[in-house]
Amino acid sequence: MYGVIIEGLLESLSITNLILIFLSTFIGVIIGALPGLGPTIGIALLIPISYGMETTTALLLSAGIYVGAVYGGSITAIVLGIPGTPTSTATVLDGFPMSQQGRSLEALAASTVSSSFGGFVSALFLMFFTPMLSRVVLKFGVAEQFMLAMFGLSVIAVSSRESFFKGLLGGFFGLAIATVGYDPITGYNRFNFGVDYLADGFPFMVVVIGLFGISQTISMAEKAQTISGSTELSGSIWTGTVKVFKNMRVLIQSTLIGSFMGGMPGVGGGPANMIAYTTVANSSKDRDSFGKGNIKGVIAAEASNNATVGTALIPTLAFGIPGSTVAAVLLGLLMLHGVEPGPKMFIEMPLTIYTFFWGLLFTNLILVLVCFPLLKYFAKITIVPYQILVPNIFMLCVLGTYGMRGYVFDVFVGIAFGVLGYFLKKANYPMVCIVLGLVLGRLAESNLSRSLMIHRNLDFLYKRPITLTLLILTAVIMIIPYINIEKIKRRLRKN
Amino acid sequence: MRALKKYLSIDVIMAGVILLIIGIMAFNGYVMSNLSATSLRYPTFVFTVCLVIGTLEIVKGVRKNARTEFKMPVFTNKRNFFFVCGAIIVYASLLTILGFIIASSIFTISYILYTRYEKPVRIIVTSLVIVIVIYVVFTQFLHVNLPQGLILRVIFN
Repeated sequence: MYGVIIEGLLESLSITNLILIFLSTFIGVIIGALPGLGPTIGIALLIPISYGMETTTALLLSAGIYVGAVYGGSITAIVLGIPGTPTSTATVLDGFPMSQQGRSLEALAASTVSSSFGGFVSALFLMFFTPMLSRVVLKFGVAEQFMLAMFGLSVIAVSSRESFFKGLLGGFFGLAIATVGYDPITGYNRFNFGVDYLADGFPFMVVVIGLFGISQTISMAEKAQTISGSTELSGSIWTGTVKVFKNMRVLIQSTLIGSFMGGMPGVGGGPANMIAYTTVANSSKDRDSFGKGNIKGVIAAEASNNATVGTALIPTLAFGIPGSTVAAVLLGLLMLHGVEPGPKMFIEMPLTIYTFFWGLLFTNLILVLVCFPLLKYFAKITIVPYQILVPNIFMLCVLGTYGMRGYVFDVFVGIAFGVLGYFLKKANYPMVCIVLGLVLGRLAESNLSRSLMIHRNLDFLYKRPITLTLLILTAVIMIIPYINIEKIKRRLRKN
Repeated sequence: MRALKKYLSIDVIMAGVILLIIGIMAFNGYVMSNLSATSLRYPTFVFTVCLVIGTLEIVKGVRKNARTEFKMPVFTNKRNFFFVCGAIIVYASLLTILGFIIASSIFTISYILYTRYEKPVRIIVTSLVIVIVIYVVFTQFLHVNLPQGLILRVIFN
């Protein structure tokens, strides 16, 4: 086995393959940075081009596009406050406030290094721990996935400390919006007013671009300044990089969460980066500064979303079950090139598979080389006057909403959510809670319904060890921010 | 009206808007559709929590407003807000008729002229180049169909 691994290493290190990885990563970053496009579209575009290519070449190109696009979503999330992909939604929460403080370069550097680290570790997991991780992932049934969604929702407690009820209302509003469309169990269409457009519910990216991007554009139009509030940038690539390594605990914690969640079929990078963000925010001493430009928020979100890349391929390659939409498209690409996923694959074409694994590993390192020289140009967007930015950002929002499905109606839905988001922001409703409800709503409902069908009642919440642990953790996280430790200490001293 | 204004603030209005949206959804799901109890179980729970918290938020807001005269202004610049909202709605409406290039160009030029930015010609030319580059990249390389518009379709066909 080790012989094949080394052969794969040597194959992936050839100059041609390294150039291929470099170019595809660059293309992936650009695709990811454009709102509405993402890794799925990137790999889908590669399929027709890859017909005449060798299997290894096609796989290496897909690795570059996948990693680059997942990372690329963070660029617009940090610089403009518009998540380029659903997996970078949590990045906006602290990344954009950092840009507003003139620290965009620092945030972008932190995002690049964290993404690279998360992706690298995840690729290592894919290469060496596929059998072990598959066993652990299989222990997470529907009940556990429901509790995981509940655990993710506990971020409401952290994000809404200033007004708990507003956070809670926002979260449940997000959950309510997520119920529009077909019922995940019975398949009936609900709350769609007989309109076919709503049969699948509100498109997630359209709502997110509306709530974050369009509402932000409207706010910008009211003022005449720049995102950073000045014409000069503070912070540097070096500061951002150093801060990532100073927060090793956050980096490792988020990478592990992302790697684990990536391996669970149907979960994907969106919930993973929200849950990693929640966990880090809840376990940090400076939890009050989350959402206001805390670099740990960027590290958590970015390390976790890129950490899903490698492990999402574990169920895809080991069982032929795609862990995410991107993995499903990648599965199509693999099958087109005659690679049949499953245990046999490692026996029949080991060299191709291990070259692909090494390619994925190197892509994450090359990501830093591709992106670092570009960061200062991305950061400069934050010192461009609003008068120039507003029409161009809105054009990007239109591309993001229209480009996904080609419906002009999506643009109108985005505008409606943009105006709603503008007023909700004015009323101090934390946007993170609404988006959290939207991201985790479907996951929570489908898994709760399935659990109830299997267990008949809610006993599973405390009868299964993993769900019980998650239940306790969720309860603790919800309560802790509201416990005044200083007050308790004073009382204890008095007594 | 003035008495009502005393109790209203953006907080109260937005809680009301959320409740209104939930109410419309509930009306559609419970009255207009014939859905099974299983399909409505989870939404019923979510809507009920929204209703309870939304009502609490409104009561809290009204009580707070009754105590204080000061209310945070909603708009920083009302004129700009209405202009940009109107412009984006017109832009989106014109997308299919005029196509991406013409609609985006009109939107960009009118916005820059409205804001009276210095050196408008240079900025307008740059923005138009960006519009064309985006159109070409998306349609030719990324195979994303952007609206061509009726005018261009008539000319090219």
